[in-house]
Amino acid sequence: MTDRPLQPMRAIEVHGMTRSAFILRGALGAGALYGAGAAGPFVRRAFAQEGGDAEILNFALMLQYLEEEFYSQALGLGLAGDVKKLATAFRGHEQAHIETLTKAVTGAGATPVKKPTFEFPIEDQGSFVTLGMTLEDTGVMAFNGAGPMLTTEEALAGAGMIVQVEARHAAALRLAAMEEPAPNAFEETIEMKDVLEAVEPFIQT
Amino acid sequence: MEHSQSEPSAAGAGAMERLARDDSSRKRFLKMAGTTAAAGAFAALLAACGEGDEEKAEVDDAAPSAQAGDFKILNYALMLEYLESDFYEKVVSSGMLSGAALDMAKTFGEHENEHVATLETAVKEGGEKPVARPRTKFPLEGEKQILGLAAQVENLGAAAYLGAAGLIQSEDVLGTALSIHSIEARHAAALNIATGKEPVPFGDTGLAVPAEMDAVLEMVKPFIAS
Repeated sequence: MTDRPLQPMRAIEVHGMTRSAFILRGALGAGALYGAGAAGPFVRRAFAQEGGDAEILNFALMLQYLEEEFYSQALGLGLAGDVKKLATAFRGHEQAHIETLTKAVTGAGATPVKKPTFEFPIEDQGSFVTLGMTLEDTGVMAFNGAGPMLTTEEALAGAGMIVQVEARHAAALRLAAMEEPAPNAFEETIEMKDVLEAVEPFIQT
Repeated sequence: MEHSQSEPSAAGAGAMERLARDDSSRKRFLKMAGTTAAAGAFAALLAACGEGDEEKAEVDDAAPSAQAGDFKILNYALMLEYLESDFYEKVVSSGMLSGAALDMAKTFGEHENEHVATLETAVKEGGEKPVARPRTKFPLEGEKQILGLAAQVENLGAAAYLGAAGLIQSEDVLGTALSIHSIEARHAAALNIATGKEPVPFGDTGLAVPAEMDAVLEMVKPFIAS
């Protein structure tokens, strides 16, 4: 894991381009370094699903699996103090989101996506906080992008309750990284396809 | 998109309408709330938030554009943003904050001003009238108390957007509301941390708690001056 360079993800804050474009470029750059294609098998599988609310909810579920596993791996790094407290609490929230979304996907008459195997290039508290804020920012933009496409009020309400918590995670981790908790007056959005491509480098199976 | 097509005004808004129409229950409600001056301003606010609610939203439209109920929600959001914008303006000019707290208040205040401008435009573009900007009053006693009040206001704002989102018909309006909602949540989390509270104050449920329009309007009443 230690030979995986963090540079592409870390570069996110540095240049003048929009955050979302930068996140994507950074993550896709990381993907190229890791030898992952722009649209790997996970993305193709995810888009073989049935569409509509179920597809969006399954997409959200995959992101929550990713975040939950991210915090689990981070807690194995010997985090300390407030950062450890945040990671512990946030992992618990992601677990709750997984439960909620699994039920929602089933309720929409579809099969919940299986938990993929993830691997994250984090090795210490600093790299955890940096990648963590990027993942949470991405999650918020992904939910906000997909939210208006949900067709039932229940699905939208559930997604709203989750995205607000993700936004709070993002703000807390940004503060821990000495960044502005809210870097813009309006949240940007990222399309599902682009999010899946961006996180593909972290997906092993 | 079928966000409850048949119930555009939903429970919270419905209660507000009853309150606005029914004089005796409104008086009781406002008496409960405090001074008659504030009551007058609040009645005007109620009227504005209820404006244009002629149930046009019941038309079953495959690709809904902004409808009457949406403008009511936009005006409600605008009223909350006016409050937040005024709050930060008064906080910054109070001279009671310094350093990181002052920087945060300035930044968040700028965000609220941008929300105000966007929501005013959204209401006007739909041919509706923006709600009148309320005159506000906030008890400002020093940095600690101010940050606590700011946290309270922002957490309420995030809860209000969450409560209203499900009632919005138009995808565009919903997109705008969501793009503001998560920023208010970020503000709330930062202020919670600044005041020694959990950034995510919902226990281990992992789910944010929404607030309905009538409850929110009642909670902001103490901040409306006249």
